[in-house]
Order: sequence, then C-alpha cells, then structure tokens
Amino acid sequence: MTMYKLLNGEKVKLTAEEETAKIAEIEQANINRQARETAAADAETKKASGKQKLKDLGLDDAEINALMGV
Amino acid sequence: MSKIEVDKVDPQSGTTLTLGTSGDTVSIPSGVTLANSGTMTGVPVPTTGIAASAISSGTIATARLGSGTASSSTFLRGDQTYAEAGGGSLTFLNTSTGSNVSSIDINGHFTSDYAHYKLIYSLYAATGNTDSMCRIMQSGSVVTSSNYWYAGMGMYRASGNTSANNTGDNGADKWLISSSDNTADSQYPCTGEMILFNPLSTSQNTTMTTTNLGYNSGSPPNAIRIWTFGGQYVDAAASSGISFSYEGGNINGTVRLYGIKNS
Repeated sequence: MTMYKLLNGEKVKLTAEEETAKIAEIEQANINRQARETAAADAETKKASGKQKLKDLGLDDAEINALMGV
Repeated sequence: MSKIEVDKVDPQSGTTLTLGTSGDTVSIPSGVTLANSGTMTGVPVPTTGIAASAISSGTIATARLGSGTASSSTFLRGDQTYAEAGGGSLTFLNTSTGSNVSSIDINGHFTSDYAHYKLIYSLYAATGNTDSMCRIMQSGSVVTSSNYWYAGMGMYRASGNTSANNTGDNGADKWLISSSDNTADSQYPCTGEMILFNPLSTSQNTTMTTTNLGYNSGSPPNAIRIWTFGGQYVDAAASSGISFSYEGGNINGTVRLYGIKNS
C-alpha cells in the first residue's frame, strides 16, 4: 500500500527509504505495545495477588486501600 | 406686491438668467419644493447639522478619514492616522490538516523574525494504543538520529483513581509528547500546545515544551491524562521544520504554527 505524509498541507508520497523506516517503526511499536500490555497485565495480576495475601493476613478492603491505594 | 404667473422664465438674451440684485433676498415659502435635475454651483456647503445617516451611497475618500498614506498595508488608527499594521506579537504561519498520513510535517516556515514558535495541535491515531511523537526536520528531512532528550510528567484519571505518570529518555530517536497508548477514536483527539525554542539557532539546541490532553487506548477511552513534556534535540544545527506522527501507524488531525515576534 502506498504511504503518504503531509508536508505543509500537501499530501506527498513517501520515498522508498521513508516507507521502509515507517514500516520498521510500526513493527517496533507493535513490539513495544505488546510489552506494555504484558507489563500492565502482570502488574494487575501482582496487584490482585498482593491484595489477596494481605487479606489472608486479616486486613479488610478498607485497610488495604488505606495502606496501598488498591 | 405684484405677481407674475408664468410656466417658464428664460433669459431674454444669452443663456444667463439672474434672480434679484446683490442684497436682495429670494424667499422660498414653507411647503415649496425645489426640484433640481440639473447642476447647482456655488451652493454653500453646510458645516453643521449633517447626519451620518444622510450618507447612504458612494465611498468616502480615505484622505477624509485620516492623515498619512492609506494603502493595502496600512490601517486607520483611533487617532485617525494611517499606519502599518501592528499585528500583535503572534503571527500565523501555517496550518496543516492530515487524514490517515504517516506524518504531518511543517517545514520552511522558521525565519529570523522569530526565535520562538507556538504550535496548536489536535491529533488522533489511525491505529489505537500507540505513542504520539514529534521530530525536528533539518534541511527539509525528518531527523531520526538518537539525539532527542525528553522528560514528561502526567496525571492519569481512570476507574475512580488519579495517579501520576512519568516518562523520559536521553538518547531517543523522537520526542514523545503524550500518552503511550493513545486511542484511535476521533472523538478523543490528543489536544495541546507546544512552544518551540530557537529552531534556527546554530549555537543552541532546538528545545520544546508541550502540554496536552491525552487518553488511553479504548474506543471510547476510559481514562484521561494531562501531560507536560520538555525536550531538546542535542545538535546545534538549524532545524527547518517539525514533524508530528504516531509510532504505531498513521496520524489524523490538524497542526497550526505561529511565530512569536522577537520584538
């Protein structure tokens, strides 16, 4: 698919070099996105498990929230 | 008093008809209408009592409105003097609106008239969950060298909680300027302003500060962020322009560039 940029308000076709760079950037962004989503999911999992461990120690939700904000 | 009743009075000879003698008064009684379809000369010009509303056609000569030179580049001031337009300290230079393009680039508008520039932008990604970013241009080309430094701080509001975010780099190939997980929902554009400092300088780095409103990746998003970023491009070469884009795909939206006059 032909790729375009906007230069001073005019649509201009990307050079082959620019197109290659943009495609590489998108691929890297996909990798970054996946890493970000994995990290966010891990953080949620750890948050839930940590909260459960605190509950197992006898803290209630209000106490956990006051301590950790979760 | 004698009375002459005729329908027309013409000169007995020649073409001049004289009414009365110097010192006489010619009275026109109330209710009489003088209908003039010809030309009247020597009529005294009234100096008072002319209502502005009486001027209902034609154009008043510029020389009657003020002193100085009236031209397409001058304006009439309140003191009735024609002068060059002051124009304020902010000058519009360019607006670019892109639709599903790889980047929105504004190039060639930096001049010695301005050391600082203001950009107003409203952008959204063509692909969701991606970084919004900026790069400088040199000699008309977008620069991707790893000389970009930036730091950003944000406040994030979602799910009943408000929390702080931060990010940064000192060797990146772009400036990040907002959320890393922007939505592609056109109703929720990343909207903000940027000040760009000294892009033409060959002794100082090009620097920027920007503040904007961003969102997370949902459509519609369920979180809102306010971001402030600062950045520099570590290279004393002159910048010729600036490029806005999204790392993970194409960009939509509008960028407006203004020059802030040096004096």
